[in-house]
Amino acid sequence: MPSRNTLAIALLLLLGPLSLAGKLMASGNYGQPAGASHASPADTLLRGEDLVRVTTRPIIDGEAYRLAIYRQREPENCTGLLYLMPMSTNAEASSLLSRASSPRVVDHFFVLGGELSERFPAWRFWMLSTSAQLQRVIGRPAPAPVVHGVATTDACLEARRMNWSKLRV
Amino acid sequence: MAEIGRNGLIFAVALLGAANATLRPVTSSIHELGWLESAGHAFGVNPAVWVALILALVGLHARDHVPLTGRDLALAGTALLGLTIPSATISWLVVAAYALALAFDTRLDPTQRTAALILAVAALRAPLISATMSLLNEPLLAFDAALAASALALFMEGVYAEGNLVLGPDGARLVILTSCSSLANLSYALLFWFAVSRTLMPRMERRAWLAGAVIACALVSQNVARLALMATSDAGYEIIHGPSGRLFFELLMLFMVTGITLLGVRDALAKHPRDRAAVAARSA
Repeated sequence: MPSRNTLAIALLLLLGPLSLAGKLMASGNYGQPAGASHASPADTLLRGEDLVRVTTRPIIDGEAYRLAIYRQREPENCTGLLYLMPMSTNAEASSLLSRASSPRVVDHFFVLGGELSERFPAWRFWMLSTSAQLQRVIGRPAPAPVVHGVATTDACLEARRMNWSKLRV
Repeated sequence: MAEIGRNGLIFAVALLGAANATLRPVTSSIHELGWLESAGHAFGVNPAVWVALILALVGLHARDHVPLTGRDLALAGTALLGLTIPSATISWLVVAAYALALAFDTRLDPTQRTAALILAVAALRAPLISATMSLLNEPLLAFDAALAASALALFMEGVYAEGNLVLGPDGARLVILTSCSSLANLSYALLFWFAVSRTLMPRMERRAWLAGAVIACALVSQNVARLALMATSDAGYEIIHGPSGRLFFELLMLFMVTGITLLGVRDALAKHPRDRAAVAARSA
């Protein structure tokens, strides 16, 4: 029977390099980078609501947060704009949404996993992010959750009535 | 075969734990900046974390040979198995659990138990701050914005805070993001204070706790002053947020935290000659 000393050295020599190699090989892509794609699911969803993307622009200096701006395909009846901003880290950009630009925002809310909320859903977002990270650790890749901030400049867009349940990412 | 003993095993597991937890930021930093520039940025890990880890490892390193027990092996084996999970956050948590187990192990000498406590605090800092900044991001940044706006309102009219925005009559003056929050900086400063104070003092005296409180107040004030200066004008923002401004405030923080920590320790040691003798004995 090996001595405790031999066992200790074997453990260190076996598990030590293994643990370090695991960290080195772990995929570097934990979480979607902030302001990454404006998610074609959102484009598809909003196209279904007869909205087209007009442009995207950074909301603050740098590329951390980009705002996608949509308007109605045939804007005769409603000239309002809809702002969509994906937030993949935390609530730090949520205040910016209500002050997106002129014309003034008249309504804003957040969408996570298809559910709407008035405030940034910090707890649910953290739970989903942690769960996605744990799933990745056990080898079951899961998409990192993204909170979509939505703001409108005219009530005629009726953004809250749109089918946000399709925006599940 | 060489005898590793309990102390050798504890040191090796702690070293491996620290390496596992810091490997990712270090390799990312070297990959992004190259060796030289990365070294200038402490390899992507805050210097306070390096100081705490080094002090903890030095404290855990003991030369006396103590035979291994089954409990030592089981504890180390569990920790090493936990470290094989490819996640830096989980590595920090494993290191924290292992260090806490050591800190409450009465078979270890007081220096090792103190070092284990420092290691536990350093390891818990990262996951705790990350979770706090995720869950309480809005109120924490709003607190910074409110303080910065109040400071600025002393010199400018019509300045107020809304969420994490500092606003003026002409619109948004500053957006406070997570990396600028007082809490993140405070966690590093207090980690440094705790690691140094606890290493130099056998027990934490009132003066050392006072030094910690002064560091907390001074650091928040300094951060608020920095944010307020950034919100004064575009030129102010460019200067303070630019490389020179950043370096100035980092150095200011470094000197301030180091100075106040050492003052707290010096006063406490001067007040209690017995403690000074204990430190001298430990460093001999």
